[in-house]
Amino acid sequence: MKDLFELSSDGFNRHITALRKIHIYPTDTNLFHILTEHIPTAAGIKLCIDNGVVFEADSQGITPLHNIFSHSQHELADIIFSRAKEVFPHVRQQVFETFENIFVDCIKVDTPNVVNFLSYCLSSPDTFESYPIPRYAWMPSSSHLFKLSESRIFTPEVGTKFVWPGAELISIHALRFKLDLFSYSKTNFGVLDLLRTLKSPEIYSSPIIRVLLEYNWRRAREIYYAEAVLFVAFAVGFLLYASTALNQVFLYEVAVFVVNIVYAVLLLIEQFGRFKEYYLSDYWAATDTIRWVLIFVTIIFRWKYVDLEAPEDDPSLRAYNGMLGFIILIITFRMASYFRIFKETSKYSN
Amino acid sequence: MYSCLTHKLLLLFKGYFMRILIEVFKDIASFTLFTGVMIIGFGMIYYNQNNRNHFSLAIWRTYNAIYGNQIEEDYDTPVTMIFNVFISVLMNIILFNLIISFMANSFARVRENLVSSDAREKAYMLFKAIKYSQRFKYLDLRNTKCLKRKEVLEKGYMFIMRRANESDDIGSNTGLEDQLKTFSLSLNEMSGSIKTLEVKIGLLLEKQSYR
Repeated sequence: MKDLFELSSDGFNRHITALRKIHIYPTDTNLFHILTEHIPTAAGIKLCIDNGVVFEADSQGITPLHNIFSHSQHELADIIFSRAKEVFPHVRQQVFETFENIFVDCIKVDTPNVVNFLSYCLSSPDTFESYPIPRYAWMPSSSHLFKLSESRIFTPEVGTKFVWPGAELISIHALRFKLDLFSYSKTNFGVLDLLRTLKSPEIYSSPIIRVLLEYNWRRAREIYYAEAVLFVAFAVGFLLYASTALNQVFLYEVAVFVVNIVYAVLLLIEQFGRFKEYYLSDYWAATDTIRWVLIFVTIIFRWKYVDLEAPEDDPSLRAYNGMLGFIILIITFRMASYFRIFKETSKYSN
Repeated sequence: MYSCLTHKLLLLFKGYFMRILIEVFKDIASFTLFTGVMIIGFGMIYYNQNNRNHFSLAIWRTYNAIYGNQIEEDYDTPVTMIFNVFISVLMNIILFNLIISFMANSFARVRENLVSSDAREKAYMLFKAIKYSQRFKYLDLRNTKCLKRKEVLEKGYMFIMRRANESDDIGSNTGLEDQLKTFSLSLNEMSGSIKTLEVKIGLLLEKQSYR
């Protein structure tokens, strides 16, 4: 093997062509494995695909993609993805099973070719005896329905869980590897982390990604609904404080102050330890910070310097009213951000 | 974020923005000539209507009538008139229309990436929710009502049901194409074997006829 690596490019190509059917016992590795593990280059990968070297998993369940990702050379994976039509149609189900561990890395490649690869990760489910896969069903407003199952077999039990009788022409596909959707799992959390900043918009249209987001959203939306309700209550409370005589009631003022402390503490806990990474890139967190700082300053300023009985042209009173106006502007702006949690105001299905 | 903003500001003043202005000035040369002829033409009408007094003023007022400038009488000196023409072309026509085209461009870009930008936002919200639930155990996503009632399994094969017209892009190569290939191969094999049979039968018939 060492001699092979020291050959000139012509000699190397000739030897590769001759060795394309090599299969090493007992590791079950082939030329694709050897090249991606020892000399991972674009030329080597192209040569393997051109010569029809089979994309296989070895006895340890390691595929050429695993080798490429272990070298952190995601651009080489893009070459395989760009030629997905030649590589993946003949890949066995057992090989697809091994992609469970590298799913995050596959998304990390972040090119439009990832969609080619993802399309091969879905196929028709295996059937159970003579139980047919339904062709017609009832589709609710959400265009994606999904179900997690322990096997790829479309059993009557799986069918009755999410396919309701109806007249709409449908298609049912099953993922070819297991997906770990536990909230903090490497796959789920890793993919969500990546999806925040992917550059290729095509990836978001992939059915797998859509379903992954939808699945997570169904678990998390209640947190956001609760947050929206609480914030609207706070906003109404503050509007009443700013525009009525309630700002003369000391207890009400203290209540606003305390609620504001709670918001500030929550925000600080949420952002704690990742200030540089996330805080500066999160516009809403920045808006919230300005809001709670301003509310503290305004209320303290009011207690110290403002006399509400003073004439209208009193500079302190004017400054106080100006600050209140600015806070209301920020609160209104922040309230508008909660539109994104309702499906009527969101383009992405939920 | 700040370095990105500085970079954009520098680009605004140094790079493509000035290039756009230069290109626009080049492109509107023929338009300016045509507008100039039209202004002189209409200015002549006003000049004749006004007993042929103050030709330059007639032209100036026609120009102002077109672009809606409200210039004070005190500024009607020849030098300020030239500046005013330049300013109204630059500010009222070019820059104002440029901002409209920039806005249209931004709008088109956002519309084009509407789904992906919405998905990015959703992914960010989910990421944040998981972070929350890690810090506050009572908000643990596994304990939400929806999950408890409908779904318990968290690792497995995902079955996806979609409308048939939306699923053209998935599984097309893995399923039907392979089946068709296998079918055409078996058809070829069958036709081959039928031909062989025909030849054999022919030979047998020939042998029988000789007997």
